[in-house]
Amino acid sequence: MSSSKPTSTSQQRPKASALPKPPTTLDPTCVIADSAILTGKYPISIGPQTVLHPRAMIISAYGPVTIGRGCIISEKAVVGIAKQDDSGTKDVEMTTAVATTSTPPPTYEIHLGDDVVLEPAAVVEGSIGLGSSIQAGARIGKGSVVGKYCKITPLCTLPPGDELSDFSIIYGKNQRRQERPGLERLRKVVHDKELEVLRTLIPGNLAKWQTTAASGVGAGGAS
Amino acid sequence: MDGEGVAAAPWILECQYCNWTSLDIGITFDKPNNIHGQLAKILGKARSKVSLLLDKLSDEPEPTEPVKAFRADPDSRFATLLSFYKSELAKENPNDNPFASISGANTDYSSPSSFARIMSLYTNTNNYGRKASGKSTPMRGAVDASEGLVLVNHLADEKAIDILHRTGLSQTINTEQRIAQPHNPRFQNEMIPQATLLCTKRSRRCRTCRHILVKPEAKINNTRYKIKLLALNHIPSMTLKPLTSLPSTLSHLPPNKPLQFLLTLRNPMFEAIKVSLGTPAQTPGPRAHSVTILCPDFTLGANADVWDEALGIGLSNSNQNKRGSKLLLKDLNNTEESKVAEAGKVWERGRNWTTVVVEVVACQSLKGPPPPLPRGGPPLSFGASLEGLLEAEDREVTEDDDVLEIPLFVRLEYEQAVTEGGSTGLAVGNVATTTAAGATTSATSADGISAAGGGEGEGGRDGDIGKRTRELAYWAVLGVGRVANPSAKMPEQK
Repeated sequence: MSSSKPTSTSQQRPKASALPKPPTTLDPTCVIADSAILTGKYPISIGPQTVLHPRAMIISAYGPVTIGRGCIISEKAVVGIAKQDDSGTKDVEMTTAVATTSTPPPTYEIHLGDDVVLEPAAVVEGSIGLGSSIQAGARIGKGSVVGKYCKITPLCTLPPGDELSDFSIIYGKNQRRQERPGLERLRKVVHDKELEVLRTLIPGNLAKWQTTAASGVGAGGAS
Repeated sequence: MDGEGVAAAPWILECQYCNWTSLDIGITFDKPNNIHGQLAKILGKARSKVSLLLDKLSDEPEPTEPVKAFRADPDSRFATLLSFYKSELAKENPNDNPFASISGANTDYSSPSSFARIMSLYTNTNNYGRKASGKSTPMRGAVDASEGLVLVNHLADEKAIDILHRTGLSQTINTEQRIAQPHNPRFQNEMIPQATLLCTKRSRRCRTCRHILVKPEAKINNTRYKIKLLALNHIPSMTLKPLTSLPSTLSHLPPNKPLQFLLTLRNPMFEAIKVSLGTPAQTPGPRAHSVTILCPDFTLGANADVWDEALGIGLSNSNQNKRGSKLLLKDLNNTEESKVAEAGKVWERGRNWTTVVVEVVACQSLKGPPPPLPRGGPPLSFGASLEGLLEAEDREVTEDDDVLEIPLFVRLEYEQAVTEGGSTGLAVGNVATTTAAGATTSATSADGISAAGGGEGEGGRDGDIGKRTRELAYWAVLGVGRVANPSAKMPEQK
């Protein structure tokens, strides 16, 4: 199915689909659309109530991917590192930067906290904290860490290896500002409603990606 | 702007983009409507002296930075100062008070009384000077903030520098933001939400028949129109295209050669129209191009409903395709065949459109200084205004002199069912239709003016019982293209 996909965007998709099906730990309550793509060799784990839109893409080619509870990953959003040559010149720089914390063959562990929203065409190659939203076309660089309740507005970027503190907002021309805490609860109400609607709208196809124990419960996290 | 909360009390403003909320500046609202009024109430406390004093005395929580900054804005400071000096002057000499006519903070400089007062200051200098010299009693000045005196706060500057050190330039605001804010804020957290300025929605009436042509809906949020009677929906649309393929683009029309164009009129109305076209034999303007409409009188069929049109368009397309192929053939064979433009004959006719041939001989030389306006040609006499315009026109050579434009007098006659009230008022006041045949034609404003005008005549002749003959006439300009520069060599046509 994924191999028959028309490759309109880039060369990412055929390459990724050439990779083997990843070992997955999927919560039975999560919704993965039929045309969503999970690929890579490291384990992928998806928490309860998370929704993957059609054509959302999760790549675990260079490290395990863990997605928390109640996340929304919209169409054409990419979680994971798609570039296949990590021996390329650009990546060497990256590797040396991150090498201090990771093992010599660099693996990038990607962790999405609970209630994370990835809007269409967002690219996430780093980790994201609870309740943050990465909006359309925004980009989170390799190995960077986004704190809790952050917001990356459309087309903004967080450079690789960077860290964003809680309640930060990147807007405009990558300007940053701090939001004042206190509205998370209200936003969560809206988010939960959205999840509810999406669960009824998107037909899930969990069985397609379930690789580990059929029960799918427990054995959480990246093994 | 968005209210937040389920239904309960404090409401806030929130920016959906950057998550700014009015909580950031410590402002909440009691109700989700009349934000502007509530804001004014929150911010406008400094506008009366009493409230300033009350602020000091009351145990209200200390207002936040932006609110404080806003309260020190020039307007409110001026208001306090003004009220202070008024009261002081009233104490000194109640009879002769130059500020007496100023009513509080709402000084209206455009009001007649204020104007008279200011003018009297200048005209009766002697009088005023004598009075002033006589009554130079010393007067107390404002001494504290409640009286409108605000001292320059050096600490504030230091504080600003300190904030700059800590947060950098990113927290400062840009010029547009600064201009939009009345209280001269420096940092982002000092800004105050500003009300959006409302726009006026205008409706339009016809000058002649007072019929409402355009009426926007009264609702603020709605951009739709209740009534929309545009001239565009009632006058035929015109297109002009070359009959034979020209050597190059229409920006290089070969001069001194008869060029034939197809002028197509398309009827938007559901009645058949009789059309008479008129044009001067030689165009006005710096160059006298001669123009001939081979068939100036013809009829346009009625427009039918959409479905018919959809089918009809297919039909006319196929017709055009045939024509196109013929033309192609002609070009290939380079021989004159089948259809030749004939005087007095319509070139082609469709359901609601008719095409006639216009012959143009472009002229490349400029007119002489005395404008020799030939009067023999035009089938419909020119108004005197046009001639006047022509004479007034400068004869200077400008870059758009080589633009070939044809003034066209269009007269329409059609039967229309009379609706009750008798006001079938289709009103076409000033219509200037410019149809560009070439992409290069840009109708210059001068031509637009010369083409405007015209009006509506109503033939009162009673045809059928429910029908009425209407007559409509207006000037339009057809943009054709540019005449080739004589110095530049153009490939020969044909």
